[in-house]
Amino acid sequence: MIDIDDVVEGSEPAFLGSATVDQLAAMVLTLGMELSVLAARVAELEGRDPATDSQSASSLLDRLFANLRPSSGHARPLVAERLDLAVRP
Amino acid sequence: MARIALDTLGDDDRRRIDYLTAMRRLWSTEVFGRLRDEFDTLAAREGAPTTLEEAGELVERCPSYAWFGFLERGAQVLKWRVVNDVVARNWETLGEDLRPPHLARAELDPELELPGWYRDHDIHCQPGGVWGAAPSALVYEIGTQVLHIGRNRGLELHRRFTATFPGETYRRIVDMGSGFGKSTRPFKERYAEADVIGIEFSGPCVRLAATRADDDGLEITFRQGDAAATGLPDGTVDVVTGTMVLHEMPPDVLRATFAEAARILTPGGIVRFLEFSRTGDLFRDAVMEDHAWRQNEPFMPGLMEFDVVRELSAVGLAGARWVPFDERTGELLPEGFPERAEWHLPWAVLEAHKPALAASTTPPAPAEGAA
Ligand SMILES: C[S@@+](CC[C@H](N)C(=O)[O-])C[C@H]1O[C@@H](n2cnc3c(N)ncnc32)[C@H](O)[C@@H]1O
Repeated sequence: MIDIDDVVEGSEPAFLGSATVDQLAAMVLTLGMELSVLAARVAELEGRDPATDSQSASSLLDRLFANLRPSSGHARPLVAERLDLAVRP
Repeated sequence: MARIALDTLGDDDRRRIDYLTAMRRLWSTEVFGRLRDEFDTLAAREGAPTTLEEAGELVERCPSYAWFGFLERGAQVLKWRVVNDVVARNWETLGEDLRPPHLARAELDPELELPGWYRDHDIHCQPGGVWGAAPSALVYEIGTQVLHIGRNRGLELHRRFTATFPGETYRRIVDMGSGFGKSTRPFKERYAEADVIGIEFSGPCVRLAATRADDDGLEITFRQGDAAATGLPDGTVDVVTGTMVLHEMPPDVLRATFAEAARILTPGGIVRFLEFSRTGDLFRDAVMEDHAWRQNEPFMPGLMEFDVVRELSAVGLAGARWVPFDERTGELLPEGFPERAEWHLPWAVLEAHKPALAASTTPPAPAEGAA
């Protein structure tokens, strides 16, 4: 079982190698969110349907995820190489 | 149907929530799928794990696991930030949802002391928990509409669970840990004649629950109190239920809560909680174990390890068992969890009954799948 002290007193956990990398990645995702708001506004102004627009939240996230995920970037690339894991499209 | 806070949001807030929902969907499908492939590749190469610990070690070594964990936690933290902002900005209108109810009852207990195990961590990473301030309940309400990947916006999931109850009528139903009443309202909808009572630690949740019940024309009593000490008389309740509450309790509180259920139930009465259990798929279970840590749910693994047959029979409840529940269809799946590609919460019903006669262990009519 999880030690409750870890939950109560622990600082925000770091997943991507260091707390700084996590913070940067979190900032990018937050920026992505604000970008998606702007993109939806622009789509509406230009009379396009924001839900099917190529700038919609899902496609924006697809691109963010593809660029942020560790196996294409900073964390543990050697494991990925050893496993010969094909990067999914 | 009552309006929900989410309906009152402006366009930009709705877009932010769309983004969070899309993020969660990608995480639960594509990122989870990739993780599963990596896990299978490793298992094929090095031998399949045979214990939860081994599966946990293997999943930790998958290249996508750090990303998977980061996104799970990150989406949750970002969600609360967005929702907190929304509620703070719209407090003048949203705050009206905490008005005193007419039809339903909100019985508040200003003297109630919340225990340390409940206060000391922000459950689900919600800053201040679901009880810390007046807006907490509204923040929580909006948050649940984003959390479950778009499938938990209204009462559908809770109605599906309520539909699996075997009885045609009940006199009194107690919903432990009733939150803002999402799990309680479907009982009053289905069993209109029953006296339906929600017991809930959080004062703000009790107030919001009463408002929402009022809006739906449902006469329900929401009482601020402890599920382990309801104050209800012995042997007066036909059904003790609860949704997503047991996994928030440490083991000694779980024991006390089951003892309380046994005390207030009439002989022949039933206990049915909608919760999460192990699935038997070691990969999924290992990921779920860490989900608890990532979501600030320190007691969730304890519930999954809880020896329900022994513990419930120790307090006089018979026939204890977990029955997997398909939250998409409302079907009970005694045969086990079906294979699913996406990440999902391992919903399951923990059921038991209080024997009608002291010596009897015959269960009441088995609960079949929901209509
Ligand atoms: C995850 S929420 C679920 C709420 C509701 N049942 C639903 O399905 O929407 C769990 C709730 O249980 C409450 N809770 C936890 N332990 C409790 C206890 N011992 N007594 C009363 N309420 C409790 C929490 O305050 C929280 O509102």
